[in-house]
Amino acid sequence: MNAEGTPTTPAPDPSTAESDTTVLPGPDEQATTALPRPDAQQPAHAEAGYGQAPYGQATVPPAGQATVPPAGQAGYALPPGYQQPGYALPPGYQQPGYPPLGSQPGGYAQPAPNPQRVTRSRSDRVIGGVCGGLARAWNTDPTLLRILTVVLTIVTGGALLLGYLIAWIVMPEDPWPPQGPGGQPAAGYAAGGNPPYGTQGSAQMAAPRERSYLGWLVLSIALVVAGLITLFGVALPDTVATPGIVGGVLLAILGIGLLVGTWYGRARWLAVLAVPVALFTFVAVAAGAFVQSNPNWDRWVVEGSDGRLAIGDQAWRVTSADAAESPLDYRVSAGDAVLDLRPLTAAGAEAGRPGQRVEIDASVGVGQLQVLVPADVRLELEATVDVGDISVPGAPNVGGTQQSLQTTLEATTPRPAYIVSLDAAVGAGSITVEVFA
Amino acid sequence: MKRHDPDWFSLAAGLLFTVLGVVFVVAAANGWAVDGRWVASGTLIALGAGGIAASVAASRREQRREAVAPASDDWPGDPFA
Repeated sequence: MNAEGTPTTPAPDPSTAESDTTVLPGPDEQATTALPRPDAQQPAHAEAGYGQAPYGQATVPPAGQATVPPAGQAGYALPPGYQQPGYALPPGYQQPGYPPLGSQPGGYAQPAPNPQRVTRSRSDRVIGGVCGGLARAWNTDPTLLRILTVVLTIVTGGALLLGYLIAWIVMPEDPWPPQGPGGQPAAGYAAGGNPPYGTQGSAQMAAPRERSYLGWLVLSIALVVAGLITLFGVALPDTVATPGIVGGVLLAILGIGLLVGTWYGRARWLAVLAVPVALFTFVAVAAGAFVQSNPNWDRWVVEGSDGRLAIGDQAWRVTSADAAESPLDYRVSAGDAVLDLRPLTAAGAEAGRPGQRVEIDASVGVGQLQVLVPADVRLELEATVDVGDISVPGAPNVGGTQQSLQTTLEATTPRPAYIVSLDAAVGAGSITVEVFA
Repeated sequence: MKRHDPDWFSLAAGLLFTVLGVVFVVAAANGWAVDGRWVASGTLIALGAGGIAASVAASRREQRREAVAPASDDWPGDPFA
């Protein structure tokens, strides 16, 4: 290069016309050896260093037989190492969608596949390569497409996930992995992605982006901090290690990493991770707020006698034998329950002990609680409902949120067979008391 | 890491998730409920606005690049064309 930025042209010297030197005609002469043009079916000797036939139609001579003008031909030789402007592709770069040279028998390229065909990316995939393939086809950023997919999947209640699965099935995979010389991933793919979007199909190829470790660094820091908070919570239970706080700290660190990536490094993919973390944290915070605002929240998640979550309709029949084991505890997380006290009649009462006191706790998370009371039993009822209504004979019906009712149903007999003290609680549903003669 | 042109999407997403994280931590510590409608709408708007800004910035960068060195449909470019 001289001061004007034009390549210097040494005097023609036949001795420089060796096999690795490209000889070009002088600027004031007719070209006798044309450079390979993409619109002409020329031998693709000039692309020999790129390992491909750019348009899939050029006939390629066997490697190592690059055509060279005869020695002494008018022209000038470029200095060794000189690279023509416009050929400055990164080493090993390969146009997406075209097979590597030499992968076909005889070293000749086969017709290229339809470039309009949308395929799942092999090199840029998180799950099935659908977003990577679509981003390549639409020449857009795969990270943005993935974020959009995650957000729309949440917004649509998972309906988009079905579309993704269909696309996964319908879209074919890339027919071959992009490879450069020596079977190594081609430059531009090496970082695990498509070539930079906005450059495909352009002669002005941008240089491959510098690989950034910012995202992994931030994620590692976030995991360590979240682990430390959780560890701290093990040592000091019920302090800081609630899922909402851990998720919030994790989310804030990811956000700070993204802020750093605004100017230094690249960490856009952290946003893909942050969206589900934000959703999880929101649910955790909402659950924590619900627990704090509902002191009896444990009735929503109750376990049966086997330690498993009790779900399903229940029929609790209380006999005199059960009454002898008072207090009694009945729970169900989700389902309707019938608390049948009718066996507690005078005939079943222990001899000489009329008016035996029986204490019962009955909890239903989501569902209805129906209490069947015989006429000769006195019922002392304390009923609470977080969301729903309470219906008791002789008492006004109540309904709404955070409802409670304390009442007593006297027995029809002078001396009740049993005195039942019932603490009935329902999260969302209703409590109904019926008296049988 | 080298300084590069501002990535507006990262800026929008970073601000969003940092604010959300702080809000969630404060809410979890105090037992407050966070209105999911605000969270969902804010997330969609911030990510969408960031994507739009990033797209516009990328388009302008491309125009500047083409203004400096006009792109050609030929490949490889003909240095004598």
